[in-house]
Amino acid sequence: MALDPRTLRLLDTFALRTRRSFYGARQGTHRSQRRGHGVEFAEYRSYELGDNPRYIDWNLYARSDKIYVKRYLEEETVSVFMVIDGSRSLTHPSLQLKWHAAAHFVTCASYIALASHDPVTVSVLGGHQSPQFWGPRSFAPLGAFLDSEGKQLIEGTPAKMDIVEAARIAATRVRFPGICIVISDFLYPLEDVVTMLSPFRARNMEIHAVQILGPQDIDPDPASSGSTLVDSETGEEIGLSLDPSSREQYARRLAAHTEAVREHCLSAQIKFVQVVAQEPLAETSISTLRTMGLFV
Amino acid sequence: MISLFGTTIAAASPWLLLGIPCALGFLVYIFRVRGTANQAVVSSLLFLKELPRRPIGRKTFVPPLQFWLELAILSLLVLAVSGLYLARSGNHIAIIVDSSLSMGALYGAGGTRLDQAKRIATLDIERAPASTTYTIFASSKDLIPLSQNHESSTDAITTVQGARQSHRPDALQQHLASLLGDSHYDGVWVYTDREVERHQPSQRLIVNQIPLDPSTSTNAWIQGIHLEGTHSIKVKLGYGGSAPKDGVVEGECFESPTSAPLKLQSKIVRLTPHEGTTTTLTPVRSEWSYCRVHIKLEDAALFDALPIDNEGWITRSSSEPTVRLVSALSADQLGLTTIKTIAISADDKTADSKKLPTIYHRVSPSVIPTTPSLVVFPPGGALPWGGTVLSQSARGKEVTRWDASHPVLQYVNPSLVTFPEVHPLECPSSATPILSASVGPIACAGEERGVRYLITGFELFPFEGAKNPTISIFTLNVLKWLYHSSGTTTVGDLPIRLPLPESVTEAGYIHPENLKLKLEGSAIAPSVPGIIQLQDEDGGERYLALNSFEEKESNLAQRNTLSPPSTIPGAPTSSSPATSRSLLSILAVLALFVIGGDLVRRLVRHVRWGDA
Repeated sequence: MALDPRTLRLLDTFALRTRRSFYGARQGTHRSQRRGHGVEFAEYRSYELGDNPRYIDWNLYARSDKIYVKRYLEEETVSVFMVIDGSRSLTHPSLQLKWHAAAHFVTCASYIALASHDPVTVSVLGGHQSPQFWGPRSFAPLGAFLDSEGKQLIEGTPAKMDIVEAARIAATRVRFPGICIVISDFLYPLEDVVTMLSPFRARNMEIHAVQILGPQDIDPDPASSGSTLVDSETGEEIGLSLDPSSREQYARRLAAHTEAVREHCLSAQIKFVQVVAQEPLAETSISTLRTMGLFV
Repeated sequence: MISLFGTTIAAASPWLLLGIPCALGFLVYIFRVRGTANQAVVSSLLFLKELPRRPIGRKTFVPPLQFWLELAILSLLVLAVSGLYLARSGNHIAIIVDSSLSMGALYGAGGTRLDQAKRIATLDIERAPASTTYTIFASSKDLIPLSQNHESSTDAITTVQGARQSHRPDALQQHLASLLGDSHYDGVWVYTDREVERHQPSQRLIVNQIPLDPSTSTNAWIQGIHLEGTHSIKVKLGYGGSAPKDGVVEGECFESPTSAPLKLQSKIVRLTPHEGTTTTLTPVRSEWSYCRVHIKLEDAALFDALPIDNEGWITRSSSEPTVRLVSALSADQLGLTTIKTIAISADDKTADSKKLPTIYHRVSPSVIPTTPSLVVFPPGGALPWGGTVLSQSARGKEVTRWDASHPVLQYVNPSLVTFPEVHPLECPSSATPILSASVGPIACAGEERGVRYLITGFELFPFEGAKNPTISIFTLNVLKWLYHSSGTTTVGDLPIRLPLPESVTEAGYIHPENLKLKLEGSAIAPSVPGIIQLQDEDGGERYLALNSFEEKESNLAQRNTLSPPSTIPGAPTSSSPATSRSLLSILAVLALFVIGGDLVRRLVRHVRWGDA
């Protein structure tokens, strides 16, 4: 998925900011939980055999007649784990705008992370691979991977998927705790949403949930003439004609569900963002990045 | 009921047609509930399912193609279930033309009774309203439909003219009853030479009797033909007429199809009405394979009314006959395998083997056998030829009287014989007692429809040869009289299915010439009397004589009546099952076409089953 120059220029102004510190795999730009030889002073520690004498604070030795070494905060990379819901509710040909919006957002967020040399792992729920991308040069392969997955999921034969099981499998692929961005429409029963997010919580990750809704999710019967509504996941059909009161009722139920998911996220220290997929996708993605607070 | 261009469309159960509007309403409801008018995919029905369900608005219901297809299928099926039928506005008449043997009798100048029947039927068809339709049947032993249902008058006349003479007796009484019971027909028209009894003319049944002139009922016919001795031919003649007449019996024999005919010396016989006459013809040379015998009335003015029964055929076999044994005991146990003049068939169960001459040992046949039969010591009860076997048995009985002139008693002195156990017989009318004890006849020999049979009320077996010479000679004489001297003549209703040995590779008529015969497996189905040549694998040739003697049909002087049912069912008023069936199949085929078209449409457009 290619980004236009304007979007790239805008993304260049963003930087990844984590609320928590994590252990990183390499030297990077984010404060790590590891103590080492960074710039910022962290603590004193009694000298132990094997410590480099260069880090002995001689001034303190002069004052206290005890040998201490100075320790500094390490700056390391942060792993970014992107999880995209690959179920039919996003990849059905009629609903593929949601997938494209999700993929575009992942591309943008990954661009920011890769620019600061943070590793990005992309996992599509229902897919078979979770490749890791590292460094600005892997931006093109990441776009190609998303294109390929999207094509397979949209044009391929739909397979029955258990979203909870798929999330559990995706969580097993996490190597380092870091930032986890889960992108889905979350149009599942609340208990499924909770169960779906819990494996990532168990990995001690900073989780950001992005709910992407499509225009059909906001108004499932735009023609107002009555339709056979087909569930993209199960293929179940119902014939329905929505009058204004029904529409209002539907909107209320959707809002209540979203609110319940948001409440759960809040209690689980998960940052929750809702976004409606619409063209142009770049604007949707940029506004989402801004809303999330993860990128500044 | 709708009349359209002279055709009536009606339904057997018109109230079922209400199913069409019901089907329409049902489909509209189903489509509105299913909402196939406008389909939309949503991410999830999670919240939509909880909304109160309202059908799609009437104004916005635009039936898709699938709606019309399903409506067409349902409508066609409703029409089929309602028994829709198409009928001509006119009546549907069943025409029965009697094609039995007696219809071949000469009638008027240069025609037969069958020709006359055809003429009358043609006139009747021409006089009937043009809208009348016909189904034509030929009635002999079977009722054979000659046409399709609902033939037009033009086609019916052509079909009637094509009715062919058969050599079989008629069963018109049963056929008439079955057709009158069929509500399919508005009327039944019968054309026969049988005299009609107690017939109240009605619109449903019209019996056209061919007017018969008693003076033209004189007829002579051959009742049976057998080999007498080694090469003499014994001919049994029948005669029906008002006064005794002289007849000339003549014939010719052939050694092979290509050899010159060997004329038999003709004999003049005195024919007495209703009495059988027997005469023997002896060829001057003994080298012959098959012969043709012919009876001709001498008086040319009193011509023979039915010429097709004046011919008889006989062949001479060079090998011993194969005989079927029906017994609880085996041929070995009965000593039959020691008799070299006959061969016992290994298989006595198949239909083919039932065409063989038969020995019934301690059983009685249930129907009159069509092959020469020896019935030995049958149990008590009625015999199929008539007559009975008395159930009480008598022990230690001597023979008291016998018919020494009968061939089976040649070289036999029955006075020396005492039977340990006998069953007295009441001989059938077509048989004569040849052995009698004090309790009555104990052996009867006779001939029915040209087929010989012999019944003994005592045990003949086991065959012991020289140990018991009187009984052994008697047994050999009986077997010779039954199975050898009769020649190889097959008598039966024609057409007949005849089983042949596996070795036969080719079969064809020699007389009449140019008549083809198809070998179906190891059997043939000849339809006319004559001589059939059989060719074996090894190049050997055999001949088979085929006759059809029907005294009931040949005896034109005998009164032959037809009694129509006293109560004739009324004409049908509503549906006719056969026609409705034809429309049923058409409607079903149409429904199948619609379903097939929908299938193709779905395949071509890759439409899922749940989609429109």
